[in-house]
Amino acid sequence: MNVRVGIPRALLYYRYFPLWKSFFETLGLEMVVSPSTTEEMIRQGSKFLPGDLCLPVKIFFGHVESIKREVDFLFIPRYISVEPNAYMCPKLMGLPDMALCAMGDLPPLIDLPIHNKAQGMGAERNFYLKVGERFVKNRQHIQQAYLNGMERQRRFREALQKGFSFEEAVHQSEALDRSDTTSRKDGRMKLGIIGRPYCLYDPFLSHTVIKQVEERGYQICTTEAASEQEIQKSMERLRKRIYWSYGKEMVGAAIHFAQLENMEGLINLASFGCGQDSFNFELIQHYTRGEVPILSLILDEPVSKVGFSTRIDAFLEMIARRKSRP
Amino acid sequence: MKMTAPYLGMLHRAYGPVLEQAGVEIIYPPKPTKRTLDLGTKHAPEFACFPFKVTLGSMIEALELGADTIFMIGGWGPCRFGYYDVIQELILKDLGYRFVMGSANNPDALKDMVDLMQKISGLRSKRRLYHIFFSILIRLWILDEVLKKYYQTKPYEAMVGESDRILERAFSLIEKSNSIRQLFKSFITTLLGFRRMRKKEGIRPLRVAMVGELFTVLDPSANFEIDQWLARRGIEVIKSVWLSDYANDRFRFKPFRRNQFKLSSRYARPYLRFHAGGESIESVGKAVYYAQNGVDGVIHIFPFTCMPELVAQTILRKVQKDLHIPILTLIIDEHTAIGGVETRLEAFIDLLERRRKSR
Repeated sequence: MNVRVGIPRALLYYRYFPLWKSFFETLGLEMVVSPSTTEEMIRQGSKFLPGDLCLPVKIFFGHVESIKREVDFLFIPRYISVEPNAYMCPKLMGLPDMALCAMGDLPPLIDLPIHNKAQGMGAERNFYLKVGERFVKNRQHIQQAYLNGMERQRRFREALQKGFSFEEAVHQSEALDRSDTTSRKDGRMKLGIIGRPYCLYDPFLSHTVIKQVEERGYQICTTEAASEQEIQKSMERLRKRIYWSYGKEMVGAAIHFAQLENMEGLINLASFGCGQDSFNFELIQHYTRGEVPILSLILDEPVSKVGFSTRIDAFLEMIARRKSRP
Repeated sequence: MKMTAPYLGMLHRAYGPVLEQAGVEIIYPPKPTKRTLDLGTKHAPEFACFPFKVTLGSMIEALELGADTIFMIGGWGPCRFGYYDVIQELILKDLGYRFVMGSANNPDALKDMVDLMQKISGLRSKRRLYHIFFSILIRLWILDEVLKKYYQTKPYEAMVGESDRILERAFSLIEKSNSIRQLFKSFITTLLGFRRMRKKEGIRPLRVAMVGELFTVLDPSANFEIDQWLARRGIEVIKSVWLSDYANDRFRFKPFRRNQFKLSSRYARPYLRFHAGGESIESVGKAVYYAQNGVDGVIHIFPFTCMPELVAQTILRKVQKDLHIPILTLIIDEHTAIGGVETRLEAFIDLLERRRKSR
């Protein structure tokens, strides 16, 4: 029987899924991805954790709980830093330890670190090589799997930058013929949605937000629609470089979006008690002041969809009225 | 230039006399009160952590008193502390205050700290700058040692309040000493004072350790002086983090003190294998160390939404189960009231006393 590797559909899944999928598939391992987030999962996840931890981490633990019995290995890498001079969230840095301490009865973890800041640019490659060595002897095979994964990941990111949704982008990254790769960016009115990938793309958390805005005829620009150069350019306005990868992306994207034509407003989506976002949003508010209206939404348990829709309605109404004013 | 800096534990007692001697005009913010916190909370982002709000409030109060330069330590993460100065500058400038923010972005590098001393004092001589910096460190060390000694002897005092008097005298002696030689002299006088103090015989006080985030463990405005509260009830307090240890891990100026970060990492290894920023590794590692070395209970104290300590809290739950040590978690935010904290502490102390009797 095949070795089954479990991947919780939460947190960094929404960033690196195409890479992981292609990597493990090329190595000939079976991948078990947990089902979509449900209310029950959040309840399960909260059981293990102190109440003050943020919602995405609780959801992550819910996902781990739902697949831990079906798999031989759990893939919970320790993401410390993925680029020079920037860290991930402390919670991601301690994730495997938290999982082991809070849950106890887990299958063996794949919890190697990715520490770009200490190990240099090769950190990510070394990580995948080491992970591969656990299952396959042939180094060339692993190398090939990693390269395949990177190629998929590149296409995935490209699709996101063109304005496709997460599902579409995953599909695009797998498609061999690349027919439908025209940009989704057109002349429609745009609305930026700023948030971490795991808050934005989890359908359970943000579905109503994204769907509602789209139904009203706006085109969505998520954080990841901004390219690296655009983010770098916005960063130059700051006095001090932001040392969090996602913080940098969010602030950079927001500043960039605010200058775009047809950009009607920004929606900030953060989870309750997110430490970094409290600072990031302060920066966003400061640097986009007077350029676009901003709506801040806080995700919390229980995830209330009605409360969001009222606020989004009011926000879009406000934007419409603002436009009609001479 | 009228410089100011927010309070952090006993840091102001260390840099104050040294810099004043070098001719710097310092404006101390008023001791943080309810107003400080209200000011900070009003202008800070909602989920900013508690130390951010207190320091912001302190800065506003100092600016009201006429300060024109604020000095704040920065850093490069992953904890939010490293970005405090930037956000605070934005907020204060938006409020219309005119001042200069003098940040030190690499508190780990000796060169940057000496540069900071140069910015503050305006002196040119490298030798004097190093001297100033190390005088501050040594003062910090002696202050920490005095306070440690106080925590150790307070439970044994025969006459109520005697050790507090010795502590007060020590602080004023240290403030007056203006050379390193005098500093050590006052240190020895203080130690002798503690030794000569009349002590109760044959008691074995409870030992309680405070672990957690640096600011809440050390600063009286953040921890409601629970260290004093515990000491008054005849409990020996041990703290996991000290400013001088933090500096010693970087600058190695205390000859016989081990690198506390490395020590904690070793003890934390079975539970937390990589430091998740802030004091997470110290919290976990020291809690394990204390549990194995006869401490009765641990108080884990940190600000609401503190990212590294939330990781530590999750892990400490397991430590508590494995090593059979009671851990009380105190999460501090602007709504925390002293009454609630005291009730929980009393219950915790009761529990520790009963545990000890049943053994």
